[in-house]
Amino acid sequence: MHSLRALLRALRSRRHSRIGRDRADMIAASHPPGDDHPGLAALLEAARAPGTPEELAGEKEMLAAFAAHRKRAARSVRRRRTASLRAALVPVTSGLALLILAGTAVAARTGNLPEGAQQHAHRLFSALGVPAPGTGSPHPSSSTRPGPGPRPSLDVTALSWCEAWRGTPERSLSREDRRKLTDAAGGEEDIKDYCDRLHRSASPSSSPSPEPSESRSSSPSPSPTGTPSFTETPSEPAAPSPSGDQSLSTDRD
Amino acid sequence: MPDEELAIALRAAQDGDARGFATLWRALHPNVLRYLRVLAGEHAEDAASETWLHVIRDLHRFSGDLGSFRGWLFRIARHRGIDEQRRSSRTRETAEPRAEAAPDAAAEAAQGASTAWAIGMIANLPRDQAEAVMLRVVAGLDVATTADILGKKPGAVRIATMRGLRRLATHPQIRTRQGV
Repeated sequence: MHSLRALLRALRSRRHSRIGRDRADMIAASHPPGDDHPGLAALLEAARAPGTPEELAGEKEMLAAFAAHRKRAARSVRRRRTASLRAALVPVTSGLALLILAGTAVAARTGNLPEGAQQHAHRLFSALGVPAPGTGSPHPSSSTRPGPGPRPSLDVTALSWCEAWRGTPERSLSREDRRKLTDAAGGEEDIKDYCDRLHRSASPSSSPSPEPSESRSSSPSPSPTGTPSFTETPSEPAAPSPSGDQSLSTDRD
Repeated sequence: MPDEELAIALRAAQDGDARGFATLWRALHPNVLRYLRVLAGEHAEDAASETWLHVIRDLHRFSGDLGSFRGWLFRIARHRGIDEQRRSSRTRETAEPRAEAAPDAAAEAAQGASTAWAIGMIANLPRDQAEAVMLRVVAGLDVATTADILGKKPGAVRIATMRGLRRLATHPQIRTRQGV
């Protein structure tokens, strides 16, 4: 009987002391396991004990690693900053340069550069159709420049009127067209002059002007055609000195 | 070390303050090292160093409170521990046995002997129970964080912790050891 009671007590206490899930959660949350598990309590206390000097021996090395990384990071941040600045500046600068170049090229092609620069551009790029200063553009777009007389604007139509007017005067040109041509030329007596100018500007600029004498006599102002400049260019730049001079100059050097 | 102070230290360390980092390291490194002893045995020191170097490297990218920092720290530690273990098992034939691998009697006398004994006892548990006890009971992580680190369901973590504690409580060597 006595032994049976002892056995029951032992079973009960064993059931009580058995760690369940909730109990385990409590133990995990730093609650001591209780008096029924003194061994476990001691073990967990030891496992959770503050760090020993042995465990903390590597502090200096870790702090050095931390400091070294901070220095590296600071350097790389600086580098990254300059890199991003460069990344922003490069397209902007190159875009600007491109714009300036393109603008200069257009200005040179249309003859709108300052005189010295235009002369320079003309000497360098005459093959690309860059006109000499003062000659204006070979394109009709430069017709905005103030000219001496009315400038041809409706090239093709006006040209056909001129053809008709020249072919059989008074005849093939309708009255309406003749009036328009007269208006465009600025007067009945200016038609010939007007048509001559129109012809020159329409013909390929590299070919010599068809009626140089007429144009020179009738219009004293600089002719808007690019023709003269093209024929003149080869002689314009400083002429190569004779061979004797050249050898002299090399001797000087 | 109260958590508020540690949280301040964490912020400071993230801003590059060495003292903040030192505080953080002193408070958390012992538990990282003990967890890695269970996971990687004699390679715990190397794995712990690698863990902290990883933390130093990525601390500026970390965003979260102290609780999530603990979780992050032990997740890194677990990866490094498993890496070290794998590397050592690959080079076991060529590696020389380390002198400090068997501290036994000498370590008994040293400070922290009881801690070493306790960690050794936990390390003898089945792997999942040992990890659960270390992360939940020693490192003080909550069930969700532990489950996340171990890649398990929270219920499985609770059961593994319970089984581990139960096994420790009934271990004859622990039952007879009435405090240390």
